[in-house]
Amino acid sequence: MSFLNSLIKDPKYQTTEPRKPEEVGEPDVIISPDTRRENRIPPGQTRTKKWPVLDAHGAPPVDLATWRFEADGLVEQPLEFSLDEFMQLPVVKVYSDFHCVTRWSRLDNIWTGVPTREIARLAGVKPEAKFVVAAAYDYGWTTNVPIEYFLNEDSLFAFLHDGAPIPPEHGGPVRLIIPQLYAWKSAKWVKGVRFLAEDQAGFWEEGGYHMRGNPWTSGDGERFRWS
Amino acid sequence: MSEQYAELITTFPLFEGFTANGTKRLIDAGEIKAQGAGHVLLKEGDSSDFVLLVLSGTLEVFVERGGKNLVLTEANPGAILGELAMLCGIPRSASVRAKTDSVVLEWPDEAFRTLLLRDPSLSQRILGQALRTLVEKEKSLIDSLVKAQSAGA
Repeated sequence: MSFLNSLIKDPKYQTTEPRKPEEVGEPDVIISPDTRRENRIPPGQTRTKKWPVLDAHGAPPVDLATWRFEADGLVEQPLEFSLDEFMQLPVVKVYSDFHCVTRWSRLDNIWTGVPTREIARLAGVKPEAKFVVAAAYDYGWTTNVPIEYFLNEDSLFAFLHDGAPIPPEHGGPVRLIIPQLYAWKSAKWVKGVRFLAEDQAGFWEEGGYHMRGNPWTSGDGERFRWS
Repeated sequence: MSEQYAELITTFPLFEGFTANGTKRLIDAGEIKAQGAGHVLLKEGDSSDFVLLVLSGTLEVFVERGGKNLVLTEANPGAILGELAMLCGIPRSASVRAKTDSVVLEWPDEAFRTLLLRDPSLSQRILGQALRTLVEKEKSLIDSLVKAQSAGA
């Protein structure tokens, strides 16, 4: 009974099998291409029906009144938004899977938020920008992403997960979501992005984690820069 | 000084792939200590409340039996000492002293546990190496037993 209770108390517990992309039935939803794979679980990963919480420092205090999102670096027009302004930007829905480098995958997620392409368009990213470093509100945490992954159609700055605000432990109010890379690249509590010509290691990358982090390549996925 | 050691730690096989910024965080979680030759850093039987990373010099791992010191092994730059006893919550299984003037990075148990808990890649590496060391010790124990048995036969 207590086990059942614990399931009921976890609103993110998945009680059904993951939908196929064609079963999602949300109008205008962007389907992340990896959800169309016959086997959606990358090598070395196991499906979880829960949504585990992992982070470097725990959820930081984020004051919604002073929250700002910035985009700078190799751009024509640096951007700065308050939360209200950010919420006025165009919004997309993305259907995607979520792969953590610690070997669990949570399938079947609907994210709602501002497309990364919209931020890049508004900022006027210069052609020499090849990498993006996302910064977060947790004590200087950063992660680096190749710009082509950042600009994927299914990448976004999400504020809803399955229709509900993203809780603080999962990176709310706004987190980056890059479905085609391991989930540590999907910065929780994102506070901004910087566009760069050269790659620059982020927090975990400085500790030997992969500079790209594609779960589908290199046999066991691009997890670490050591063997 | 810590910048110089941050660079040095990136060259240790256990920390392959770390940048100097990454190893700086490892240093910030502990304390760098210089120890003169002869200084005893760990004592057999003491509680295991810190872990050492050798940065320079050579340390000797030894046990005292019947009034004599028996040196078990030496630890050189890049080696971690005391991690298994600390993680298992058991007293030190041997003593460690500086054979030459040495520098170590000392992590208090709480800081070391936090490093491992927060970073699955680092814990995989450190536990992997600790277990390899144990397996090697077991092998050498078996070899000694076989030798002793053949000598007795």
